[in-house]
Amino acid sequence: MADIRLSQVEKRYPNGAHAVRGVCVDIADGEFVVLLGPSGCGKSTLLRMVAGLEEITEGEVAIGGALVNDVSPADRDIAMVFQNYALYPHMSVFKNMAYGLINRRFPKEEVRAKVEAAADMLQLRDYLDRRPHQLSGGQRQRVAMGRAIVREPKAFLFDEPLSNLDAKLRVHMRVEIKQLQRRLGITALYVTHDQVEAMTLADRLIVMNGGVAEQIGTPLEVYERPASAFVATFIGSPAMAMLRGRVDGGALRLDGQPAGLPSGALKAPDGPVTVGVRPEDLRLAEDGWIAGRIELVEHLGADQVLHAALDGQGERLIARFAGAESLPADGPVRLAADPAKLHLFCPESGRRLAA
Amino acid sequence: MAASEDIPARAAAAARPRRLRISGRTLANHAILILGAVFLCAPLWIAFMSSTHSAETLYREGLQFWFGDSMLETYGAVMFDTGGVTKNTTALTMLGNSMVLGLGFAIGKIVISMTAAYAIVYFRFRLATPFFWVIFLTLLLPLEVRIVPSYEVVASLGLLNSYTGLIVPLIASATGTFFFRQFYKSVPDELLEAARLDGAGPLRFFLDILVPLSRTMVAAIFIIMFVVGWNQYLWPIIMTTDDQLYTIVIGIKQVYQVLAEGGELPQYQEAFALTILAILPPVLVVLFFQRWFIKGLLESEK
Amino acid sequence: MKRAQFGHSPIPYLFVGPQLAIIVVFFLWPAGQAVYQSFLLQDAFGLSTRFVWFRNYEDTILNTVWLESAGFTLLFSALVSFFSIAVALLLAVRANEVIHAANAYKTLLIWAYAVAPPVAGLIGGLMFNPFIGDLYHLFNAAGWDFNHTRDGFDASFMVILIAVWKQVSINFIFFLAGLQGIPASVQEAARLDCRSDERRFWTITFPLLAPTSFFLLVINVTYAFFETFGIIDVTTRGGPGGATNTLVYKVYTDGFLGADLGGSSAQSVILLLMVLGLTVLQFRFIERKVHY
Repeated sequence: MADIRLSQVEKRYPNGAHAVRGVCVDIADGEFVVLLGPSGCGKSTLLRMVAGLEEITEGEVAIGGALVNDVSPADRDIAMVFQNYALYPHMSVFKNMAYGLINRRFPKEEVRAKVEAAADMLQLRDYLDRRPHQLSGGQRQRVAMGRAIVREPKAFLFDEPLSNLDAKLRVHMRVEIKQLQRRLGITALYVTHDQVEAMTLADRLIVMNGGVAEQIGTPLEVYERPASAFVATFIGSPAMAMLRGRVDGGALRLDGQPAGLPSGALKAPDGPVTVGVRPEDLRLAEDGWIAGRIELVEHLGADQVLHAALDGQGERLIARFAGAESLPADGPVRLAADPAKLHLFCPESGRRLAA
Repeated sequence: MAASEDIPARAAAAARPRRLRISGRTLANHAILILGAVFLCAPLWIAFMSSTHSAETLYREGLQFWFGDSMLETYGAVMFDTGGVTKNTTALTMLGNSMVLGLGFAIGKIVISMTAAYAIVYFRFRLATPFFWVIFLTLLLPLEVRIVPSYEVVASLGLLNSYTGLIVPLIASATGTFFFRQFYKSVPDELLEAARLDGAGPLRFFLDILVPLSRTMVAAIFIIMFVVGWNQYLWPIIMTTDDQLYTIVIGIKQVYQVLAEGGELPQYQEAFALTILAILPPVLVVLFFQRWFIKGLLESEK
Repeated sequence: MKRAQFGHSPIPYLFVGPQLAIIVVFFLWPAGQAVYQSFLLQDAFGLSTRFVWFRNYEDTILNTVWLESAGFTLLFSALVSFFSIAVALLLAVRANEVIHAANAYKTLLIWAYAVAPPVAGLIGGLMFNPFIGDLYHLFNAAGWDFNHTRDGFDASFMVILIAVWKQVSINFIFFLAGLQGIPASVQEAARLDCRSDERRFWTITFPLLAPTSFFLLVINVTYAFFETFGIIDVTTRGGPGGATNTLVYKVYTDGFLGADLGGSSAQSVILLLMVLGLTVLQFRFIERKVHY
């Protein structure tokens, strides 16, 4: 295994599309890094540039300390697991896993040994003679993993490997991938648009939007201190409420709202702000500084989710409460949140303001 | 309560054998299909039956609807003897030539179009677009609109009366290339990417992945192309003057001429026998490989 | 365009080379020759040629023989296409409904695809043979003074019948595939909404088959223009008196048997323009159907 270093990586397509903009990140040996973002954010393009399947317009990609910009994908010594698995449909499971080794002229005995070892690890021993179409979705997924493992590559690249599986299997395979990665000490770069997958798998997350790495950090850092309004709303479900307001001498007043936080509550500079509040950080309070009208309360068993329309703003917000709490079904409502739990963002740039 | 009392009665009704009722629509369906099948099959049946009678019987009694007694004699003469409707050659020779044309056409066309389509779909090279348009042009130039100059080109290359001259000019048209182009485009990109990561170069990817992947497509298109090749008519009559190179379909023209010339007693039974021999191989291929044939037809004509 | 492609390599040139070479030698060069020759006039002995601009075209288009041939070709194509499509559609709709013996019907209806046009022509011609042909006798016995060797109408009737016979199979295959491509749920919904088989066919099935029908129309017109050459060459040879002389058959007889190179070439080029029209039609249609 090896580390991967991306420096100022750019991707511009001939048609002018600017898919990846100046991404810098160092992935340590054995680290599991997840690229997370909405579709079209450039995360797959970035992964494919690391694989060598897309040309790098500008910047540098180094694997194991060696610059690989001009190295062909076959010579980068990396393995990839594709969304649709990309198994060779006419080859047996054995042949699928062995193909890369055979092409690299490994001796027959060694190929067999490596494939069988990987098959044992993945519980595929009984399926080596089958064709991909004779396997279940989870088994195909394992073959794709096996194909990567036998190569003992410097790094693993995953391109949304679980999105073709049903929900239950997805959770199961997610656990398997994580265990395998820990056991083998794999350096992994993993693309997904599923935030649960990202949060559970990642040592570190790269949240991408519009080709830019908006934030790089551990899942907890990203959740607790989102670097931008985009990251704040993208991570967390239900999504964080975003309210328009104004800071004046450390006091906060939301647009069109009667009350506000008293002076000195916040350390942000004066001016308009976007205030983010996570649903779980809101609580009912008779004198709360957030006034609205209840639209719907959903009971989910363990939780209750309250949807409210904010007075004086077009915004809606979602608050989460424990299942046992008694909530009014409709009518006006006052909510409050601890000032320390608020996230303040610049309304223009969307960047986090020092709070 | 009422409902539960109904149950035994309903069960009894269900158990009672229902009278077989055939709707008018079903009856009409079968009548129409039988008529259609007769319309298509009767000529072949009559041709076959008539081929088993003697020339005298046919002349005296007209077309025949059941087996006669000179089948072996007639087919033996057509297959192995010169003279009669086959003149200086035999049906056996012509069947051989047709086989060469059918196989050569099908194989040549598949090889040429698989490779050309591979180049166009899987490579970024400067001339890809012009090549594609040149290949496209062939769709606009059916043989019928360039008969005379094509003949002259083949003549000047010294390819008249040769298998090369017979087959090669026929195999370059765009249909096969389009077909494989379409098929390659439907192959997931990830397969190429996985193969590249597995260390396969362009040639290896083609031979190890793409060709095996195309097997059923190749089989389907092979059936179609064999039939199309076997049934070629205009090009062979233009460029073969040596009757040792006649295909059986050209033999049909010769039969027509022999019958038109008249003479004492036209050998109608031999004419029918030759048509049966010309029809049989491609029809058997189509019927035997029906599934592939239909797949090939539906895919290639699109 | 594939997302992933190979970069620089000699392989694409090697792979596209054979096809390109054959196309240049056997397609582009002869086609260029055809266009070039269409502007030349040869004297009766083939000793000298002159460049005459569009005279061959003028001579072609203004020639009543050519005009008659063009008229026949259009009528012939229209009738052959209409009848072979109509018969095939009827058979396909019925074959799609039956449960018993469905595969037997299918087999009996598709095999004729594999019959070469001249072979169909010879069989058909023998059915109408004045000496042994039962159809010839049948028509005459029924009071129709049938003689395809003398009467243009009778000859046209015969070649159209043979051409339709040969073409029903392929249309049938495409219609059946088209019908089977209509989702069962759509058919079932239609059965809940509409009792009449007839009405359901014209309001649901037929419109859903429109793409297939249009595609087949192009295929059939092309067939009637070009492939029927083989049928005509072993039945009427364009006769009697040019009554069944299609444009393609005329190009062949003028160019090969009549050795009128310039005129034949001009006719070829006109045909080429017709093919061009058909192809454009076909591709515009395909582009609408297939979403790139």
